[in-house]
Parts: sequence; structure tokens; C-alpha cells
Amino acid sequence: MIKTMLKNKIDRYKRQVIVKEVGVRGQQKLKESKALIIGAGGLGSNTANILTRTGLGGVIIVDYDKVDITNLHRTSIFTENDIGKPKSTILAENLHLINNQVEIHSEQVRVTKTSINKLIVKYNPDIIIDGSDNMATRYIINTASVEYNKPWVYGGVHGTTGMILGVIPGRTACLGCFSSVLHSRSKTVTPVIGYLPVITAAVQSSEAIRILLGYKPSGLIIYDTWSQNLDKIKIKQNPACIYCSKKRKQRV
Amino acid sequence: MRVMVRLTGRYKNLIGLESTIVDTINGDTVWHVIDALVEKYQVLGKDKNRMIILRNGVHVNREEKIKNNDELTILPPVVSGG
Repeated sequence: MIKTMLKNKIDRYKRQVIVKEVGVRGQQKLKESKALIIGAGGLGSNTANILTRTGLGGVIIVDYDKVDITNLHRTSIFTENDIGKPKSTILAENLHLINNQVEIHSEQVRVTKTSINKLIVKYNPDIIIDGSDNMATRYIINTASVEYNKPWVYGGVHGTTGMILGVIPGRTACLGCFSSVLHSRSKTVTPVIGYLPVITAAVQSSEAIRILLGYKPSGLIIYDTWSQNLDKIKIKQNPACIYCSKKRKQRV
Repeated sequence: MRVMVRLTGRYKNLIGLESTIVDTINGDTVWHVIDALVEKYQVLGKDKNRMIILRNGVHVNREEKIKNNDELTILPPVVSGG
């Protein structure tokens, strides 16, 4: 029994360990890493699914909301039976079934400047993943990332286009380095084709894994999944950035 | 002065080009380049005030003057859905 369990533990990542960018050392590094996932909708549920299967040491899901019928076309894991139940709890329960070697936590809280600080102090994550659906939350993540020196990966979707940016505070451009305009919450519903968050979350996960394994983020990725047009844009740190420039100067 | 403008995301699709050249004169600002670009490609007009502009990879305010050998990159606004 113990022998079988041990074999399963090793076999689980057999195909991933032979990827030269990962290797045994990389897999171990992932096992020692924790991701704080803000939001459990289209982006958050899919990144949580990927990162749990990838074999991180811990995944913390934060979402205040409950599963809604309108979530099902673009999320992962949730079923019609989950409608009305808390997203974070349902996701955590299912992720545990997917990979019981990963420590899964769920937090049904609204993300604010205060609550994100508490979450970071409580879990000390190695990376923060953006699974939110509004810019206000993203700037809260950006601020906390700089404050606590935690890398994060922005992801956003609209129509058929996904955008992704991996940020290492103080070393690479943050979201505020090029976009600090807080658009007021639009009353119109954001159009999203069902497969888009899956692709965007996969690219976010790949950026997260790169960062956790010590590689540099790739820059701003804009992927139009309809025309299959992908842009990778190198954005430099903005010396006038209201989010990260002060911190950078302090470090220097 | 000739300024290279690199287009990204949906702007590239709308115009069908990866980059274009805009002629400027000494003292012109980023605004002048954007105005000239929108005049040339009117399909970009709707996003004129929302597009993000980088100069040589760094975010730039539109009031700043263009310098010789500057390269601008035009990005669509960051998307917020999740």
C-alpha cells in the first residue's frame, strides 16, 4: 500500500519532470511554492485547476461570490449542482480531489486593501494570481505586490482577446507602470467567449511557473484567440510610476 | 523627423500593419503623432483617448515632445474581464 502510494506520488509528475525547463529540481521548487489566487471565476478557477495539477505546494482560493449559471460557460470544475454555493469552497473541495498532495485553502472574503494584506501575512504566498474581474481589484493586488515584494500575474479577458503580464516588483514593469487609469465599473456585461479564460489562465499559469522557477516574465502578452495573433511587448519600468517607483528608490 | 509607430493587439488587425511611419516636425508632441495616425487610419479614432502609448518601451504622456529616433508602441487599453 505504502509502496503504491509512493509510486503514485512520483509517477504523477513523471512527464513534467522530463521537461528540461522543469526537471526534478524545478518540480521540487514548485512543491515548495504557494499561490494566492484572487478570484475563482473564469480565470481563477482555471489557474487553480492548472496549478494544482502542476504540483504546487499550496493553493489559496479567495472569492466572496457564489456560483452562478452565467459562470458555467467559462469556468472550470463547477457544475450545475454548485449553483448558489460559495465558489471558493466548491473549488477547494474539488481541487483536493484532483491532487491531495497540494495544500488547498479557501477564503470566502471580499478583496480589499485590508483583506489582501491579511491574506498575504497569513499565507505568505510566493506568487499572487489575478483571477478578478475588475480593475479596482487589480490595482489592490498591484499595490500589495509592491508592498510585500510578491510577484503577481495579471490576466484579463474581453471578447476573444486575453492579456497577461507577469510582474516581479522592483525588477519588471508593474501594471501601474503603463496603465493607471481606473475605469469606472461599467454597467454593461463584459463579452467573453467560453474558451478564452481557459487559454488566458493557461498562459497566466505558464508565466507563474516561469517566475516560480526563477525565469523572467515574458512582458505584456496580448493574444487575440480569433485571429490567432499574439503580441509580446517588452514594457520597461516607468520612473514616474505611482505604484512601484518609490519602492524601487528605497531599495536602491 | 520620422517616427516609427508599432501597432499591437486589435490595432494591428484593424489596420493590417505591424508598424507605420509618421512624419513629425521639431517640437511635435506625442499628441501630434496620435493625431496624424488617427487622421491616416480613421478606424483608430474611437480609441484615440484610451490607447496606451509607450516611447522606447516606457509609458509616455501625450504632452511630451518627440525626440529623434523615438519609437512609439500603441497598446489597446488593458482588459478587465475575468
